[in-house]
Amino acid sequence: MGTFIARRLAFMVFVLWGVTLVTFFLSRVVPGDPARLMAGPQASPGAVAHISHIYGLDEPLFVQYGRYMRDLSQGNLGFSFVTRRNVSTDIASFLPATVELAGYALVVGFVLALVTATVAAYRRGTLTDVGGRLSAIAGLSVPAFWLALLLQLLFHTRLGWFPLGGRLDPGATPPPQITGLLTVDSLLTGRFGDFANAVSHLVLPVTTLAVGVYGLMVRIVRTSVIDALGEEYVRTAVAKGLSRWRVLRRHVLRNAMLPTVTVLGLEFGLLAAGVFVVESIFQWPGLGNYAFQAIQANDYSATLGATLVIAAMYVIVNLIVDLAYLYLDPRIRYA
Amino acid sequence: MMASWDRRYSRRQFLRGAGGVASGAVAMGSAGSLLAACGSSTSTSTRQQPAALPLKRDPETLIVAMDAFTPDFDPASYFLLAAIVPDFGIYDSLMRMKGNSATDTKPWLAQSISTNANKSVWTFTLRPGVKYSDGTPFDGNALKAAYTRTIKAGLGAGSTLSNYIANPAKQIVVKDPGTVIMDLGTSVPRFDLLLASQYGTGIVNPNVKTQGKDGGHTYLQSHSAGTGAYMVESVSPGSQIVMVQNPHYWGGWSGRHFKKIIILQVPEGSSRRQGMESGDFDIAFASTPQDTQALRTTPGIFVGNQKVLGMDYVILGQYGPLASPLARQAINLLFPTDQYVSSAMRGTIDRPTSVLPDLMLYHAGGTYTPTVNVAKAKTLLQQAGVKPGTQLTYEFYTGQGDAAGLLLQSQLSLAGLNVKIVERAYTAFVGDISSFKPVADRPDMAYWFWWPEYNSPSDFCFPILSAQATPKQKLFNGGYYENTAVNNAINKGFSDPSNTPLLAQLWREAQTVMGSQDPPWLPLGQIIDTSYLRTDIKGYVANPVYVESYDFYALSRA
Repeated sequence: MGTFIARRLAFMVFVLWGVTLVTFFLSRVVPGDPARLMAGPQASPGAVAHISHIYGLDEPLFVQYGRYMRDLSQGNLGFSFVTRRNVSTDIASFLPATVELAGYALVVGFVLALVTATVAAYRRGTLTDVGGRLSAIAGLSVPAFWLALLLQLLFHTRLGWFPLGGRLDPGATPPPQITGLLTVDSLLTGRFGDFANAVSHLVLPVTTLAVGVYGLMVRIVRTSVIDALGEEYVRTAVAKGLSRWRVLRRHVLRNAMLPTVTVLGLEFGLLAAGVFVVESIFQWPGLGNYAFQAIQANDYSATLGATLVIAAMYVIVNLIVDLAYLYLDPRIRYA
Repeated sequence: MMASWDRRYSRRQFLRGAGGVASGAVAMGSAGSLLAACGSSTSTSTRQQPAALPLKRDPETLIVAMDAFTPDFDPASYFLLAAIVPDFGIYDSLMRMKGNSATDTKPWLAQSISTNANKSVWTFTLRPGVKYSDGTPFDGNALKAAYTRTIKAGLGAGSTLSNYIANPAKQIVVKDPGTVIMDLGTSVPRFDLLLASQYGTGIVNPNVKTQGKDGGHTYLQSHSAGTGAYMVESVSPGSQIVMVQNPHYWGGWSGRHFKKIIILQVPEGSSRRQGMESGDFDIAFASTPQDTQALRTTPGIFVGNQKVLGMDYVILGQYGPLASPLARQAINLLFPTDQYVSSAMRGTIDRPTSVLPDLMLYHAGGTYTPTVNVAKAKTLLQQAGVKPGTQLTYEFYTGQGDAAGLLLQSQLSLAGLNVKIVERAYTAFVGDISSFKPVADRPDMAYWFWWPEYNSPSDFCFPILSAQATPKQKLFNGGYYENTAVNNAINKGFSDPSNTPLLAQLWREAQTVMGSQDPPWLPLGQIIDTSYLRTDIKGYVANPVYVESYDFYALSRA
């Protein structure tokens, strides 16, 4: 096991190196001069050249890449032209926001999907099943940007139940950063008002994202549960007189979880990388929004930093998925 | 000049600039309201306006929703509209524009100004008792040090001052702590307009030079050091800037003023609209023309209507199929400007009457008249040798210029021309119109917009129309426009700004040339500042020079 994890982590280094190589050179071939954008349109070519020099943008590409890799090896991800901070500082604040949003969306969407899909599978062919499948199709079909705006309009503007956006009310001081997850940090520091504030801000964006997760997971889980229900070991368990709950928990769901966990891992990566539309609408200062702005502005270091982190998240989540297989199916062994 | 990473103008992204955030308003209260009613000013909180929605938050905090902000509090570098909005409340300049006037200034940190006969030497008596937010006194030496830092830093914004002060050590003389003399070496009758600009004229605390090795530039990305009414309390990039009252502010805090200003980043226009409708925001950058039109009739919300010194236009390349002035005249005769202004833009821009914006010095109304005449356009195209079936490319960047492109495509087809519409990301688009490329790789037409750093046709026109400002020089004359009359007017405006009669004549001639004979553009319309405000916000006066900028000190809640 230890060897397996070490090998995967070593593999991750190569993946991330490949990501830096591709992203670095691709970002440089995109037209546009960040120095010009920083200097402003009226600035003289001399001023633009001076800014290029300050940020080393006038050096040959391979020199720039070498310097970037040297800094990266020391944990320095560079400087963001957009936020005017170190990229590592940015990621330390933007990443937890996305993890919190995507994490809750994944949990909420998955739990609701698990219940719906299991009930639908047990009542296969009934109106309940049809209803579950229709709700899944609806969840997959609804565009996130449309749903987000609709939720804002209904639950904020019309009913006033939830805030329009942001992680906390404007001007509110966040709890001291421990994990960066406001719901967790506020509880850890005993700031229960901040906890309620953070939760209220999470409801609408989490709902928006969870609907998509729900739609996908209902289909996966339902199919897996139906497959498991048809297995002989399930019929044997029922014949032995085990309770329905026990059969479901020990024999059906556990086996149905293998494909589900695989998809769940991929879905988390997709959420983290593709959440920028929802973050944008809900003014959520997350990594997706950060990466989107960085790409728009030819903010090289920020683009590279965000891409690296998202790639690392993919690799780590997939490692966790592989490890979860060991628990879910003891027959699996990693050499 | 022209663009935070939304409102409709990308200079915002520049100035956000290209989004165009810009200058100094003054509290005018009910007088401003009256002017607004006359269509010449923008003010809120009038009795006639419906009451704002009930406020469910701290009434002493002003919440402003921008599409994006850039946390840059260094006057030597902030140039984007995205940075200028907060900085306008943080930094003072020697002069400010007066009320809603595009031409009148008022002393600000200068208590009084005087000049010699030929207006080449300017003497400023500084306002006494002014302090920076850390309590450091402001005086002539501080002013000289601040401007020297801005000019010498080479970070972009120094270009405004360095137009006339290339050698601050020699040209700025501190006669005594309260008196500063600036010797420009040439006659500059309206140097006061330049000093009232938002770009590069903010006066920073020279003590910041001790903060780090870069003259305090990095320090000023998260801290402020001005004499203005507010100072930065905290910055959360991508989320909010919180500013609080500067306890040392020379204007004092005895009147009604906001205690705190919160600037939020709200990228989605529809969210900004919803935030205004729900009462979450006091002020918001404009959303789409459709949203703006809807909010104009929403009770409790005021939508700005002040024309600013900016133009939306389509660059027409002086190369390829449009090399001939006749061909460019034909394009102008095919575009239905009135329909574009009223239907596509819902009145959020104003019908152009010249290539220069109305209210700009030497603007000559009537030198451009939008007219649709397909038959004449066909004749002109034939004379220019542009054959039916010719394909033209039209380039725009995501979020701006698509409607104009579709209209062009439709209208030019009436003359047998095909238009290929190309959408680019903003940075790539900027690269396309400001980097040298072979003719075959250049767009024939491209959407763009611009506004000046201060009210000066030369400052407005140089980067976008001068033969010395083409993409070869990495500037924004993306059509490679070259016309002797226009170049002459631009250059005379810089070299001989005191010869008012001559300049009036040259600029009228230049506008006539550009408006009918040798068009560099297809003017789409003059930009209107359509900021959204709650009607209980008092003291707002929009100024044509200060695009989408708010004098926070002058604002209060009714």
